[in-house]
Amino acid sequence: MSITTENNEKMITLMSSDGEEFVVEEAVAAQSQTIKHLIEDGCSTEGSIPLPNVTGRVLSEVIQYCKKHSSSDDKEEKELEAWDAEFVKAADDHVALTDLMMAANFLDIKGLLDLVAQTLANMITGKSPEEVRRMWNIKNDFTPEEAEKVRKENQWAFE
Amino acid sequence: MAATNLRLPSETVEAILAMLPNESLHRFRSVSKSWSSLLLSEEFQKLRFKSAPPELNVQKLLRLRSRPLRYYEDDYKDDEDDCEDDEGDYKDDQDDCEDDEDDYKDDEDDYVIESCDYRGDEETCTEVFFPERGSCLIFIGSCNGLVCLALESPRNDYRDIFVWNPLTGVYRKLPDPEGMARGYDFWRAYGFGYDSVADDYKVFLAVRYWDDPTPKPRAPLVQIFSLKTGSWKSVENPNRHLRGLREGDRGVFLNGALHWRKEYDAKITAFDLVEEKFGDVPAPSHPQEVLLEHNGIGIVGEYLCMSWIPTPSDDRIVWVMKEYLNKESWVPFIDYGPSWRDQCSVRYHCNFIADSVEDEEHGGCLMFYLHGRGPSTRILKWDKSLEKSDRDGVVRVKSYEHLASIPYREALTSPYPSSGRDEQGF
Repeated sequence: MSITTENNEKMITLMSSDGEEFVVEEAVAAQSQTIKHLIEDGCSTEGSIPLPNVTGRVLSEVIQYCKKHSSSDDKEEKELEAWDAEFVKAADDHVALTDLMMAANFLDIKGLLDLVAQTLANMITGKSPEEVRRMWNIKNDFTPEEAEKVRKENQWAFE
Repeated sequence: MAATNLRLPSETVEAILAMLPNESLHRFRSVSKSWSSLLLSEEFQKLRFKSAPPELNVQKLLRLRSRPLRYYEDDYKDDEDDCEDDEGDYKDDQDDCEDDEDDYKDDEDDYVIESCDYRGDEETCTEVFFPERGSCLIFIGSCNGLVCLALESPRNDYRDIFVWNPLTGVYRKLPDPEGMARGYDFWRAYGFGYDSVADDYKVFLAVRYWDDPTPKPRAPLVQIFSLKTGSWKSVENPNRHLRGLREGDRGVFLNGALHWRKEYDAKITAFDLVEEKFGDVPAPSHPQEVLLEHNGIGIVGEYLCMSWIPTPSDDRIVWVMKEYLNKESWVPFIDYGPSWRDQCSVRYHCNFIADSVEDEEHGGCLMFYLHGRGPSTRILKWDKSLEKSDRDGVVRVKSYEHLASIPYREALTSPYPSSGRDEQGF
């Protein structure tokens, strides 16, 4: 059963991994290619769509983004850019951004993915390899010889 | 807050790294093995060309010029003064001055390679260093960040071929082709491009030899080197197609094929790098009286272009083929306007060879070598449709003696593709 609003907008319910439910317009949710396909496949006719990879906190941010981007048209591009900038600023540490990135990736929302990717890219541009490893718990799996070789090739990039 | 469980899934790593400038990518090769192989992969370079902001996808010109003043230093014994005067302009010439006698013995060090950016109003050039030296350097081609070049050894007149990434500094010396007789070759034609079907970079080499001991030229040999397999392979009898190619000619890479213009009959020979076969490409009709030995071929935007020197009755010097392989689609692109005449006073000694460097605002720039007054560079800009262009050209290049140039795009592509990566130590 799907709910309709007074202006006949079809609503669907999204359920986060921690059981939180969000009722949103279908047009808003369909910005996610993943959800769009689920709707098309008829997965949303009964009850809600479970999103086991996304927590309620992240999902509410994603919905915020989708709402903004489904209600704006091209004329407001400048305003939308400013809004995007504020939006990623609000999630300003790399942990929150990484969560958002993973959700955008899972939900397949291109605009959000690019926005967060660009923000994270700006964040790490000037960082050292060690700092980047620490951010995402990446294991340095080079042997000392291999590391030295890469370092030599990259000398100018460390200056 | 330390998030000990935080992990970045691999598909999102790509999306983030594609947005980074080259310097950062370069540095992040040391993060981990998987980052390193991702950054060197062809797929990543393609993603980056597609999704990175335009300012990160700059096409530059790699330019070879002679070190100015060297000849004077050699000519005049009291060159002390020269050196002092030069200090301001050429800081790195100091060494040259100190051990002038050594330099005199071999002339291996009289050229500089520069990487030039034409996006602003002025060119900005930085010197790049290729570790191997020779008495003569020829740019063979460039593709996705890789530059192929030939170096002539001053000792034996033999040219070694290299594939080099000027951004990472990684280079690879190609082995001699099988049947190569060092010292007996007297004519070579080159090419470098990408085979999208095999996902492989290929070097084209055509050689004519003297038959030993009788001084009679043999039929030319054509061999293709694959960066993936690391070996040369012969190509079937190419004689007809190679007639009219000049010694040292390099093919222009477009639409998966290499193109050379033929001397004297203004035709174009092509070599398909996927099929590894020769073919003909229609050329524009040229005025009767044009001096065809001075024609040139290049790329304007995404089109093949051909150029020749102006004739008394025809000022159209550069033509563009707007639809590939369609002879009727050749249109005149640049006229030999008044400002050109000033630049190129000895008309018949002008040689126009077009190289284009794209940028995001304009279609690009054209480089011409005007041999009337020693080679120089002329830069034109046009919009992508080729409709509007600054056809008279703007000369805004410092007057270096300009020997050769090739457009290239910075990318981390490795000269050792996936199957050969071991050689790099990964």
